[in-house]
Amino acid sequence: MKPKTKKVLAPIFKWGLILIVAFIILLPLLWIFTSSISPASELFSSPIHYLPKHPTLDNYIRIFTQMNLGEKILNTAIITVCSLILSTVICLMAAYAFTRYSGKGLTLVYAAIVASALIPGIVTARPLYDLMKRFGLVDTFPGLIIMYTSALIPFTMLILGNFLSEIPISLDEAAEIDGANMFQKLFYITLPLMKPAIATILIINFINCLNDLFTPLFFAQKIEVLSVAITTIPRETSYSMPWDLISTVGCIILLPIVIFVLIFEKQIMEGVMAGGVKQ
Amino acid sequence: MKKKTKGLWIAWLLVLPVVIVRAFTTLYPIIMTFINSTYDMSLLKGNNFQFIGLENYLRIFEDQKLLSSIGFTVKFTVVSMFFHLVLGVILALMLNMKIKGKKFLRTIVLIPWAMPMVVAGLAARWAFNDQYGLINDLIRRFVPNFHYDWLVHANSAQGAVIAVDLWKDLPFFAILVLAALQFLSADIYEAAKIDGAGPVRAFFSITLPNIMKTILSLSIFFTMWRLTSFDLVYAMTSGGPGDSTSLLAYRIMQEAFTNLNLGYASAIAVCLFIVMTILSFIQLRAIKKFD
Repeated sequence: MKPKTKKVLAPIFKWGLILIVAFIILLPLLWIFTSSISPASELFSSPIHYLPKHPTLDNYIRIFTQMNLGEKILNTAIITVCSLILSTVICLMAAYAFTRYSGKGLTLVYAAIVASALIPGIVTARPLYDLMKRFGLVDTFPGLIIMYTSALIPFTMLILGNFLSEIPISLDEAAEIDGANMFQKLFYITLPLMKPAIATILIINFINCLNDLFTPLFFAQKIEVLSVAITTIPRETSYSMPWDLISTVGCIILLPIVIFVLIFEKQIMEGVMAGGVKQ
Repeated sequence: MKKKTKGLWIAWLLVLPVVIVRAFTTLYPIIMTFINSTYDMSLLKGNNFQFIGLENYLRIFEDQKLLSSIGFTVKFTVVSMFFHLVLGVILALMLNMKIKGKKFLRTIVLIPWAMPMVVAGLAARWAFNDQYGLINDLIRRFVPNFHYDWLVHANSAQGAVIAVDLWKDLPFFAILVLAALQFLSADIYEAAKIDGAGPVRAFFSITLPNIMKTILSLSIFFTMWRLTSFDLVYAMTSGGPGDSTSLLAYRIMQEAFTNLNLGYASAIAVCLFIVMTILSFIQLRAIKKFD
C-alpha cells in the first residue's frame, strides 16, 4: 500500500471500529429510553420504532402514581447518602491510622480488610441474614445502611490508603511542632489535601450503591430500593413482561448514572484505574 | 520522617469501626457457613438440627440439578473469560488509539459498567424476545421473517446470558487494561519501528509481555465475579429454561432462601469458596512468574 493511501485509510478504519463499538453499547440504551416514552401498544408491535411515533410520558405518570416510585427513590436516597457518609468517615479514620502508625497487627488488618472484598455475598448471606434477624436489623434502614457501608469499605480503604500514604508525614509533623492538635491536623492539613480522593470515592461508591441488588433483595422486604423495585413491577402472568413500565423504571435508574458518567468521566477513570477493582 | 510506633492504641481506636463492621458482615457469617454445612438444617423439617458431618457434601455428587448448575457455571466462566481476554485487549488498544474520538469512546464504555446488572438483565429478557425484541428486530432487517425464541431453548439461552455478561463487563475490563497500556512509553514503539517491526509484531513482542501481569491479576477478579454472578441470571432468565442457566450463585440462594435447606446451601457455598481460593492461588503463582 502506498503511504498516502494508508494515511487516508487508517483513520477511516479506526473510526469504523469506534462507531461499531458505540453502536453496540448505545443502541440498547437508546432502545430502553424510547421504549419508556412509547405507548404500550407501540411496544407490542413489530418492527421496532427507534423513534416513537406518538411519544408520551404516560409510563412515567403511571409509575409515580400507581407504583409509588417516589417512596422508592427516597428509600434509595436515604440508604445511599447515609452509607456514603458513614463509609467515608470510618475509612478515613482507619486509613489515617494505617498510614501514620506502624505495627505488625495494623498491616495485617489492612491486608485482611482489602482482601475480604473477595469473600462473595452468596457465601455469607444466609448466616448473616439470621444474625441480622436476631438483632432486629432485617428490613430496617440501620441494617441496610450497615450492609451497604460494609460492602463499600474494602475499595474505599484501598483508594484512601493509597492516596494518604503519598501525603508526606512530615507535613503532619511540621503542624505538630507549630502546636496543632490531632483534630486541627486532620481538618486543616490532611483533609484539604484528600479532596480529590474523597470526590473520586464518593462518585464511584454512589454508582456502586445504585447497582446493589443482592443486599436489598435478601435483607429487606418492605423497604424497596430502585434496583429491587424494577424487579417487582406487577406482572399479569409469570411469563408476561411489562416492558413499558420496566423500561421506564430502568430509565429513571440510568438517568443519574449516565449524568454522573458524563460529568465525572475523568475522576471515575482515575479511581477505577487506581483501585483496579469495583467492589 | 517515619511512621509512629508509640501510642498505637489511638491507631487501633481509629481502625475499630471498620474492623467491627467487616467482622460482623463477613468474618462471623463465613465461619457460620462452614459450621452450618455439617448440620442437617432444613427449616421446613423443623428446628432441631442434627450434626451429620460431611453428608451434605456427599449429596452434591448425587444432585443432578446442582451438577448441571456447576456445568453451566464452568462454561459461563470459561467462555466469558476467553472473550474478556481477547476482545477486552482489542477494545483497550482501541481506547488507546491516537484519534479524536478517543474521549467520546472512553466516556461511553463507562456506561455499561456503571449501570446496574439488573437493568441490563431485564432489558435483555425483552431484547431476546422472539416477537418484539431488539435482537430479532435487528436480524430481521437483514433476514426478513427471521424468528427464534432465544430464551426458550437451553443452548441459545446460555449463549444469550454470556453475551449480556460480555456487553456489561467487557468494557470495564478494557478500561483496566488501558490503565496498564498507558504506562508503556512511546519510545519503545519508535525503536521497534526503526528496527522494522510491524504493528502486529510490536504488539506480541512489546505490548503483550508488558501488560501480561495486569491481565493476569485482572483475570483473578473477573473470574471470581463470574463464579459468583447472581444478578444477571436472576433478572434475565430466572435460571431457565428448565435449569439450564441457573448459575451456582443463583442455585445457592435458591437453596438458602427458597427451599430453606441451610445446611446443604452452606455446603455448596463452602465448596465454591474453596474452589475460588485455590484458583486465586494458582493465578497468583502465575503472576509471580512474570516478575
